[in-house]
Amino acid sequence: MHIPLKLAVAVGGALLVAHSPVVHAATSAVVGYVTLNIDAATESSPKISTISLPLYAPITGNGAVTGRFTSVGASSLTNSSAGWTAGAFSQSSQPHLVKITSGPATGRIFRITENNATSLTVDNQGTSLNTLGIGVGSNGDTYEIFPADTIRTVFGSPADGVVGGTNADVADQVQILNAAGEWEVFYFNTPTGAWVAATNSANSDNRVIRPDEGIVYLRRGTTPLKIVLTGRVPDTTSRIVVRNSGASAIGSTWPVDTTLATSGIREISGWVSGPIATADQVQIYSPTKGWRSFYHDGTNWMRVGPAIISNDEPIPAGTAVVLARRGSSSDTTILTQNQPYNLND
Amino acid sequence: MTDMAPARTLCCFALALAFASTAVSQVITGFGSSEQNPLNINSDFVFPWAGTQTATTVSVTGVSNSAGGIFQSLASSPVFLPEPEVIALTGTTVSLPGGVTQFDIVLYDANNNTLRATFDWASFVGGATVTADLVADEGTFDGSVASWELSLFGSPNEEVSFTFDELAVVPEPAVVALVGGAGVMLLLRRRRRARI
Repeated sequence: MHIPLKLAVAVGGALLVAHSPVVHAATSAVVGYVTLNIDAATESSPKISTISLPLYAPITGNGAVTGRFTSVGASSLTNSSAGWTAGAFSQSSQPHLVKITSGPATGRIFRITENNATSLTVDNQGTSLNTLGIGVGSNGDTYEIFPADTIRTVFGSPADGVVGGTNADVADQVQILNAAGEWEVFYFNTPTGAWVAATNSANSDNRVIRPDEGIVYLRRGTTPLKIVLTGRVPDTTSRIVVRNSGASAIGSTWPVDTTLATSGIREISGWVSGPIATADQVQIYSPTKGWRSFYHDGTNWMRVGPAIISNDEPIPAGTAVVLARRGSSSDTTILTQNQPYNLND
Repeated sequence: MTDMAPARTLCCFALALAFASTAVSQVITGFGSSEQNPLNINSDFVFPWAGTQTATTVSVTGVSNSAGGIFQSLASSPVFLPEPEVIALTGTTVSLPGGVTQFDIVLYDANNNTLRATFDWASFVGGATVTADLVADEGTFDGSVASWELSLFGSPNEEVSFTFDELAVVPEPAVVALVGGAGVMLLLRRRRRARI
């Protein structure tokens, strides 16, 4: 698919279409914007939307924010000539991500938890980086570093339209499925003026939202909420960590619509296709249809229930899907998604 | 003859209303193991399955980690709907979901064209029979119900516990009144002709 001069993006509960101009930045990155449209609701009758953040922040920071790795550890990535400012990428108020942009781990994104002048310590998402085949040296694999989105930077405060409150039962909620398969709920706490976790009121303004994370936004406000995101269009293959048992909520990761057939989900190593009783499932939310579940019968994607062939079921840009897997293994697998467009034409 | 006309009209109207008030709903399905095909209860209603099906009801407690729903193909012949359609769901909500308050019942014909009706979980607290209008959804529904589906709109981490007893189609009073009125008029006309 060729990205047109205007990037059409349908996002969120209202499924509205936003046309965004695409321009070429000095780094030749293709940038644009995505409009998240979240339906109006009421406090007593909230509505949900699924959301993802498919655009990346500009590559910024001191030192070599792009380059090649010279060595790799279990949780560390090194560029011996990087010249980074110690701690610059791991400040809680401005967390950063590093993305692998070449080699067999292309598309993997890691949160930077610490850094010194030459080395990054990252959240390796449960797998040693040594096992990913990342090349090092003068022909080593490449990377880029950029700021991460957080709950505060994406959703703002009541001044931006979100509904805050003294507890999660009266406020809008941001719900994120964590690596353990548990849904974390956040809301804007008006007394403290911060996003907090519903379970323990911990300040969560700086909770990172990864580009491949799926989010459920529960809206109680009586007006629609429009959030405009700007950023770089992904320009490599995407690789997303998926749990081998239970639920994983993943973002659509692309600023264009995809389908079940093109999602790459069927190709996940160990994905179970076959009879409905044993097959893994994908759940997609529609504001008008509710949750719909799908499974792959070995030939086609099928809808759970009426058994409708659903290969072309859309996964709208900027939304999220839930993968529900029946396995019992506690480890993870990688979902590889090829870039669904060509930025070079 | 002319003097009798208003009285006859009133009589017809009263009979029609009486007929409407006693309109009998037509059962689409019960939810028990003796009443239907096995339920297809998906997603987190499966992981883990938390349902109990008696001979006449099904009870489900979910939703834990992701979205859930119920689908069932009718064991017997399709159920034909009168128009316009209202469906009645009989059940009990044991615990309400924490967030989104509504769910849909979707009716499918044999070609998967659908009608949809929206219910509030809270309406069933303590047990109730609740009616809701069916609205056109996908395709052109052919008037017969071959299967049905419970569709959820809540957050994946919400939990709800409910028991369903019966799903039925209820002719709207206005429709029944029209049909009943026409029937009574026809009866009176036949009687009048018989007297002549």
